[in-house]
Amino acid sequence: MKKIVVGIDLGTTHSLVAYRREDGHVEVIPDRDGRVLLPSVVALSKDGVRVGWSARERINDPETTVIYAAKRLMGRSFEETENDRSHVSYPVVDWNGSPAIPDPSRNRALTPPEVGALILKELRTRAEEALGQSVSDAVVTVPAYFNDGQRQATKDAGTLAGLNVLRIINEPTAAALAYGLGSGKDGLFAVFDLGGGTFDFSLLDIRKGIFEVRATNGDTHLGGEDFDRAITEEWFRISPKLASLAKRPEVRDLLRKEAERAKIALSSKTKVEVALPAAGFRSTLTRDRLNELVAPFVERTLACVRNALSDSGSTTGDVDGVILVGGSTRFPRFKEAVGTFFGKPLFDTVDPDLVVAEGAAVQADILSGRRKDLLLLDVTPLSLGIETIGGVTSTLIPRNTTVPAQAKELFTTYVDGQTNVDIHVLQGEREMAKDNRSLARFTLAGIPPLPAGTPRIEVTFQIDANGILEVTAREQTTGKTSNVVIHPSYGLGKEDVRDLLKEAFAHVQEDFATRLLADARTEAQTVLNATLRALGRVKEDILPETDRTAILHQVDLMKAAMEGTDGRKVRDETQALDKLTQPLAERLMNQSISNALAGMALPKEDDTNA
Amino acid sequence: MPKTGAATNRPEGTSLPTGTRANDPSVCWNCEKTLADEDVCPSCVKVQPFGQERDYYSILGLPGRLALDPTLLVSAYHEKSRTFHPDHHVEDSEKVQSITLSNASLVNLAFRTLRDPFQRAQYFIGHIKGEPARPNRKATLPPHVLMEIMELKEELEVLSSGKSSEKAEQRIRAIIEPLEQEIFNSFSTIDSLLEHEGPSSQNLSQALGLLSERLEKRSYLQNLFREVKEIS
Repeated sequence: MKKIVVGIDLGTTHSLVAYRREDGHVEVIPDRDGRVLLPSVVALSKDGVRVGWSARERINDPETTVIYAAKRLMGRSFEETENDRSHVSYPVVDWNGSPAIPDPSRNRALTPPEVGALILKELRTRAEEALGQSVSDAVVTVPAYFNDGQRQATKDAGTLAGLNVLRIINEPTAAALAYGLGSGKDGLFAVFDLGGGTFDFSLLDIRKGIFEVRATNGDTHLGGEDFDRAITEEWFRISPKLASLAKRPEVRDLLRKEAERAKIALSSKTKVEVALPAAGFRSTLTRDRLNELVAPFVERTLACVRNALSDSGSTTGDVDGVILVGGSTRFPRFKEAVGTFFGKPLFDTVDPDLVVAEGAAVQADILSGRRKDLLLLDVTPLSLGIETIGGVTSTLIPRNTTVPAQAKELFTTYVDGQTNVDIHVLQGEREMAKDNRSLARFTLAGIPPLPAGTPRIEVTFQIDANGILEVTAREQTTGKTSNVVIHPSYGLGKEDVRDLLKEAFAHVQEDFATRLLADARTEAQTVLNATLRALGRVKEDILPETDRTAILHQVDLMKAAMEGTDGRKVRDETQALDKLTQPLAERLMNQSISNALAGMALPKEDDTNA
Repeated sequence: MPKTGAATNRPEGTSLPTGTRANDPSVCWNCEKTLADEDVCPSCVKVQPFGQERDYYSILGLPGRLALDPTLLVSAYHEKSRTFHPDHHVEDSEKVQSITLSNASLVNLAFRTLRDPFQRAQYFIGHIKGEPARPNRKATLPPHVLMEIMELKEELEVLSSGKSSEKAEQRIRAIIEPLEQEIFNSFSTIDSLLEHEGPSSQNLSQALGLLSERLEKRSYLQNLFREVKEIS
């Protein structure tokens, strides 16, 4: 089976996974219920850890820690996250200088990469179920302004989820890839990305298939959620009673949902009725009024745009097109404002929620070797070097060096007759080795005993296009060689890295077949229970005897498969049973709906006559 | 404390990677057709390893000049990246992958060196003299330049004794900026000397000596600048 590389958009509010099908189409992979978005939410409670939709439902549960927007904490120190910590309702503690969220039920604290890993793992499982094969390689997107540490932390999250993150790419670049820019279409493109809680603006230079981010700007606390809040505040002004009711979290939550619904409706309608009978509240919201409410936010986004343009020394005239990303760009006022500001064509035909994931899948496809018209150049996020005498770091490959990269340097011995050297490989920008991250240690032995400073030991660093580092030490007279291969990572202490790597290996070795079997058995049991229940309820008028026999036969086949160890077989037999019982389910559904309607419906005059 | 076994920097003799050693760079490794420094064999379309004699200019297919048009440099770099980047060879044989890894690393190094005018000048000097590239090679500064720097250092100590290092920074900038301008200005003179009088010209050798001295002085000044900034 051909190896598939998936593209993942690990977002602040939602995450998605996509891949390119054999037929060339890029597909965002839905979950079992057909939903493509996965809320970037993790819920910790006594009864377990939940991820996604089921985690989000717990938002008002006092017994549960609901972690959202963890991306804002990714790869940053505890101090750096002060402002972001004040915006979230879950506790964040200082854990060796890094932010972490306590999980008292499991007696641990989760670092942001670990939270990211839970989300990535969910997406990985989703992809594996949909594709019916193991998925281990991924391209993950990050905002263009993410620094080295934030990028490495995102990679770490992948490693913890058992994913080999081949590449980290910028979200605006991904959006451009999704629109097919780069193959034959050169120019300067603006990417306007307004999500649920963040606004990012980038200028992207595309020349003959090579992408370069020229400038970025944005507001990390501006997005669709602000519009919802502006709407509810408007309602509070209309009805002070509503304002006092909204002190209760469940009411506030309901209002927020109602505001979101009204906002979405106003993207296609010019006015919307809002009624909350329980609170004695009724009001009409017009699109014009909503436009007034969001005007300050529009102005804030345009201020960022102006800054980015002036930073890069460009004007709107230099821009060839504007790509719209993020669900909030569906809002007509923004499209209008951006269109007027630039006076340039808008790229808005791809779903703005999916466009980044789709672009990640395009890069994933390039890495699968299927297309050669595009090339994204990548750099090493942090400097790499070795420890020399006195505990000093000697950098061989400085940060921001384009990969692949190679560097060689000559070293020698410190003591007379020294026959071996320790090569301590380091990552980081600090002078002293102890302040940098230790990646590996190895020894080159068998150096001929000579006076100090005479042997010539050549150390070679080779980083491949995926950022994997190979360090080789070679004594030049004897040709003795020793080497090590390292997958650099960041964001956790040395001890944790060791533990986490152990854990990561466990994830990698986790048998895909075992997981498939377990999932298939659960699914089969659910279908079996439902089928037996239905069979017990229906009579011959709904289910002819021949159909019943066929179903019972399939039930036996499925039970036999469940006894076995072939997960795929279990799944196939379950699907066969599901298909067989489909007409029955429909008939039952019709029956219950008509029963329900019979009890409720008030017949019209026409009906009584019929 | 360092272990007695820790590696020690050799003060001299830092070397740079050289091209992959091909058995014979003048023929294609795959179909054995005779080649003339082509990146890709015209007959079997396989990428070729760079021969050891390929310098950074020839790796990027650029003329060996000091004054380089940045647009030209970037487009040459992009073109070579498209040819050699491993992402475009993920399904090729191991042999091809090892060639592209090595070639692409060299393309990146060549671009990084030539992109920065000061690193480029340093590289150019060695290149003309036919020496292997050694960016850490130090020129010997004449005594009067060394004196000048020592005096400046004392002056800076006084200037940066206050709370702000701004005055000291300004002082260094006032020396570095005209020096850099002098360096840039010499580029076209040197290029034309090379073109008209050849690489062994006495005038060229003198001009390169002066360039080398200015580069060295600039690097001293830059270190001073960094120190001043760190103190503040």
